[in-house]
Amino acid sequence: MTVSFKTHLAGLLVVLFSPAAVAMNVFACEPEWAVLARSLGGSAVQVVTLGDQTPAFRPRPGGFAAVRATDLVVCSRDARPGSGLLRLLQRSDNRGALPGEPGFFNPRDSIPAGGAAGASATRDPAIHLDPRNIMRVARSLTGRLVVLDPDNAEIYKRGALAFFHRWRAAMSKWEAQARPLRDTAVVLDRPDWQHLSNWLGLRPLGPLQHRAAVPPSLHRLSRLLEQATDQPDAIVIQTAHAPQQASAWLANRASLRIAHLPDSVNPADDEPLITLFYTLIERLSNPQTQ
Amino acid sequence: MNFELLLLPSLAGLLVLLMIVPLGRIVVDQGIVFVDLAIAAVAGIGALAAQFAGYSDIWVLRAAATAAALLAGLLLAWCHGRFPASRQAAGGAVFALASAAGLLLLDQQPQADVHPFALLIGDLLWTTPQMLWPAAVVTLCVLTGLIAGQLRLAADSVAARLLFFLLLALAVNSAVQIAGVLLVFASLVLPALAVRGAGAAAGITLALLVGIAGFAGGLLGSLYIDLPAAGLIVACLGAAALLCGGLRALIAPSRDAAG
Repeated sequence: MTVSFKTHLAGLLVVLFSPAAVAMNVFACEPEWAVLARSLGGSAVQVVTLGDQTPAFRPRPGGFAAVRATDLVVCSRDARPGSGLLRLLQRSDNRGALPGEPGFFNPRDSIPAGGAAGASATRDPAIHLDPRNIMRVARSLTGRLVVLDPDNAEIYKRGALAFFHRWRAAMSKWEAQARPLRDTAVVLDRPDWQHLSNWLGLRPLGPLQHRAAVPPSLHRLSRLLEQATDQPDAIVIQTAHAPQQASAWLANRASLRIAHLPDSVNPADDEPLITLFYTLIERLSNPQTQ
Repeated sequence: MNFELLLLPSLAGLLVLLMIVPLGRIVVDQGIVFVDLAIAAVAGIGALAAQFAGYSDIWVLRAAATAAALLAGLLLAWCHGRFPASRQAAGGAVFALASAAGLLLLDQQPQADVHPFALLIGDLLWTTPQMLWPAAVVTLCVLTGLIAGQLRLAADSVAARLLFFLLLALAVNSAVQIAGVLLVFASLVLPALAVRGAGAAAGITLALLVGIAGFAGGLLGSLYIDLPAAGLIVACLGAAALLCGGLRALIAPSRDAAG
């Protein structure tokens, strides 16, 4: 009994005073990057999020305090002047975490912007819906963690290696599972979901909405309806956090099937990022008839 | 072009106009246009509260919204009689408080798939035949009630006041579910402004024509140009109201000045 108590105490002291116990504070705007930072940093990082996934991004006072205390901000959303994110960063008065500083990491900078789809793809915030992008972001995020916290470099490198290993294995499974989906016509309910259809080789018939907050016109609906009547196997994609009336209307009118897709990870899952892609492919493969 | 797409939205628009425009004349004359927003906001709280309590059936949510709207109608009717000088402000106050309560409720329920924009700038495009029947019943109630109440809000009669506010609550709640707050507010105010001072029968006919011109122009426009229907309908309503008001001023300037 005493021996085991002593070893426990020794273990506790090691945890308390080893460098790994001094966690680096990471603030992530989006839940997918919070999960990624946790997988890479393990015990060396302490990750906080706002839990606000809406595009409008209205941070509460708690958000200012969290950003002020952070060593690294990881945000893929818009950080241009006037955006909610930039206001949050400026108001938090953490100079090291402003865009351009080492303490600010935009996952979108890790994605090559080229080719015909490049222009729209760089504007599309949903880069995490292509697992190849997750791989790219993981690589450069590891590099940034090592730069900011060289004492724990070993932990980050080990975390990254383990992550890459699991991710490659999962990716080959997903690609095999999703092969029948290639060239399936889909109607997206929002303008910014290019990355998922690029990866899976889906054929988008054009989004229902061309701007996130503006409802579609009758003109657009009528055109999509005409296109959809030639493609009875097309799938209408309903995403979380988007109004569902238009997609439900189109699916009903054209007798199309609906796939209801999550737009990010569920942090309560065991391996949230891996579960996300299994869920996406599973729901796309089994769309619901209305 | 797919004209068949216009059928259900046009029918829905006609019902909204029939129930809202006659009430709009009274609302504008009394200077209480905010009561519409107030009722819509309280109805929204009713639906949210029902969701909060765990209900998700659309008919339960609608019943909760209707009940909340009728309560708001009672409250506003009481304010109208009790504080005659603060009528306009009372509507605005109820609107602000109810919207705030709705925001707080929504925050407590992140899984609720209520998109705030969908409620605010809803349009008629998603109308289903099942939605038209309750709206038609409400329209009948409103028109019967208004004709029975002689299209007037008698300030001295408690019964007339109560009847008016309950009908307004029923109509606004039903119309907002089909057309969204923006369209209902525009239908309530713009046609009524265009025919201010006109006699009862002529005024209502003219106001309905303004409304029909706006809805038809907006829906047709949205079919030909790639623009959202709600915005175009309100723009066309505004143009039709301006045109009607201008013509009336040209034909009978004195009458318009009296209104």
